[in-house]
Amino acid sequence: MIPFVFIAFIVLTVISACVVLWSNNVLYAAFSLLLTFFGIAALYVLVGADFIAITQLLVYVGGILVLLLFGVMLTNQNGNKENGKNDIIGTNTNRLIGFAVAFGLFALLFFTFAKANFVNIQSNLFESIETFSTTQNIGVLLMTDFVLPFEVSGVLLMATLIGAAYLSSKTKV
Amino acid sequence: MQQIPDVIREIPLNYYVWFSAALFCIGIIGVLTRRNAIIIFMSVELMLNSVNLLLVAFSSYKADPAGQIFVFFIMAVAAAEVAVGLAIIVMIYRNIQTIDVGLLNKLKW
Amino acid sequence: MNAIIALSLFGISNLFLGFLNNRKILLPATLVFILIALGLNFADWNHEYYWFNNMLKTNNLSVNFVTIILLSTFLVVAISRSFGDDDEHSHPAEYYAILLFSAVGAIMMVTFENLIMLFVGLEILSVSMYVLTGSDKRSLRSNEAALKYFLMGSFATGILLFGVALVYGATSSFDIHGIAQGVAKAKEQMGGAYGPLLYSGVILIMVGLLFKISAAPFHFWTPDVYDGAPSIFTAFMSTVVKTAGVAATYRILSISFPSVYGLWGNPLVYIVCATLIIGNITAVYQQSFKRMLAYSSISHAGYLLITVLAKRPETNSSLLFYSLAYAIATITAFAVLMVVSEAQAKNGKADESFEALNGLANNNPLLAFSLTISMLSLAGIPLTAGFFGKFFVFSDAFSNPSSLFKWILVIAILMSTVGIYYYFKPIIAAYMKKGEVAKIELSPLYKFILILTTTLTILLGLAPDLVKNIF
Repeated sequence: MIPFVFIAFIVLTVISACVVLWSNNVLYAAFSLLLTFFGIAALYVLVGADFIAITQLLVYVGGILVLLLFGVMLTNQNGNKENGKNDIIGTNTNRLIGFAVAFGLFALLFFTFAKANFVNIQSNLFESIETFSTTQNIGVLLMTDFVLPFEVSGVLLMATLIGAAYLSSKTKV
Repeated sequence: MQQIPDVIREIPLNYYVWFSAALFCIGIIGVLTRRNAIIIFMSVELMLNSVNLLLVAFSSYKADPAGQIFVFFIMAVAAAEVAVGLAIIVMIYRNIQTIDVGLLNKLKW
Repeated sequence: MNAIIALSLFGISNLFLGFLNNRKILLPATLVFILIALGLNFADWNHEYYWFNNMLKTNNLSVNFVTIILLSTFLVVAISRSFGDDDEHSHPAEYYAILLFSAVGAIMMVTFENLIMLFVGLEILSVSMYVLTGSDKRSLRSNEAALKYFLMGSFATGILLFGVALVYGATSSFDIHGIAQGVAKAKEQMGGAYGPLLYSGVILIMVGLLFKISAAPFHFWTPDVYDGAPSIFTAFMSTVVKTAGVAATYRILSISFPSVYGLWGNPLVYIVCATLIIGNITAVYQQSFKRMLAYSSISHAGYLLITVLAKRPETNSSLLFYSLAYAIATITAFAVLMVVSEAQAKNGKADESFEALNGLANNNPLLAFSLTISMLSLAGIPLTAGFFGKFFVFSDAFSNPSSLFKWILVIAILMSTVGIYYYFKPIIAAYMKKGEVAKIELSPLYKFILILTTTLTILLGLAPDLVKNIF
């Protein structure tokens, strides 16, 4: 049963990711990105990461995707008629090189992973998994071991806040 | 909690690694071949998602929560990046609406 | 570590200072803030300490790097001239605050002990730089540069993170010493069969970091971004960001992956050679001084990577000395470029070509002299700091027994001679070419900074041991 669910979600994710890749309409791309995020959230659940799955839904679907949709709507005012692909940046990207690099990388990764020996990784799998409650563990760790990055990401958010507000504010000319 | 080990036992870790690699490469294709800034940006999000999935998979199979903590930070940073990125895109759109779309085609990748 | 806390707080207080109507107070306040952080930084001198459960580690090496970073930040802020007091479009409080925040990120990149800190620090630095690159909102070039930097930067982050994830899969640790142990264990247990995850991970981490320091096959975004960004932030990018990036690369490669040297060393050899060749040869053909400096920063990334590659005990001090010499000279060059290009502006657009410098020496001897010294230092002419920087780097490469380094050395020396050609172009323009540059009024602080950096460059060129012994 579970392998089928797993495969179903993988297929959903890959197909919707490919739609993002090939869609000519930015809005469709954004909506299929929604499906990708959902599919990945489901995979998180399958792999036993409940907290991350919920965060994925809240942050990616609820935050990032909504922001992206705002971006699409703010930059799409002229409609797609005169400007079919809604170009914001330049024309010439060398498609062939792009595909070659990506497929080359994928082939390389695939063959190296095929050689990888995962037995070793899985060997210590079930030692502590019975007590593996992710939310509590993550919460405790965030406040103990990882308290510095947790605090310092405040600086990041502060810089982002100032920067985004500054860049998107209207200049008075 | 009892079901989780069963799930993990039924699906080998390899599948997650391969799937993440595939998603990562889809993201790379998107970044390298698409021309629309927002779509390039979505492709970057796909790449980050594949990284997240890989980290979560490793973290679960190793029963080590540090990987999931990293994912948590990646998500926070991704949200911050989106905000800045959209601010930049909106700023550019304001300018070329009033000037000329052709002006930005100077970009030499 | 104290510097991180202090700078974060100062960044916020800078924002509050922005509410005051008096903009004049911002520049001195920011300078004082940076000096305080610099002082606090020395509290960590001479004792190694792990902060917050092995998140950061301070030792003399990191203190030195932080000093270079804060010194560069100080110089860049000092030549910012309050971003034009009269320009109501500029928001100095925001700029200074973001600069201080990005210094926090840079410090985290040179002191990190855990990859999470590397990632968060890198992102603080990058996100701040995206914003600052686009800060000239009315200029299309600046907008374009910001978009390009942003897309390429987040792409590089994605690659870096995939590498981190793979290394985590292979070694189950994010701690750089933990990774080193994991690598050693993986090597002995599986006799190399374990490696695939690790190998791809190391390569991807390296590629991600090389993107950020713009080494050769991954440099293509650099000229456009450096060219399009406002000059003051280009100066910041080509000094602080580069120093922090090289330091982070060095830290992770030398601490976590020394036992798999062949894996990252061999590709890095080609990357270094490509960086040197592309950076220097392309710089020859540039018509714009600013763009030439962008290519020059690519080629200097190549020289810095040589010493990362050489893996000698002296590497620490060579790296520090080279970064310091390079940072000081680059900031001087940008300081001259900024005032001259503004004085020579045509139709309200700053002229950044070599022609703008024609005849600079006639009315502005100080500017021309500083420019000359900084160019000589970047070219590596004796009696300047840059000469000893190159000398230390080359002797590191020379003392490495591997025959590969002889070839790198040959290429590096050839390319330095190419460098001499294009670094002399602005000097010739300033002294020999006919042209008219009106006398440029400089503020006392600006003059002081020019004299200070020029003196430092000459001083380090005459007596490198003054600093070299500390490092």
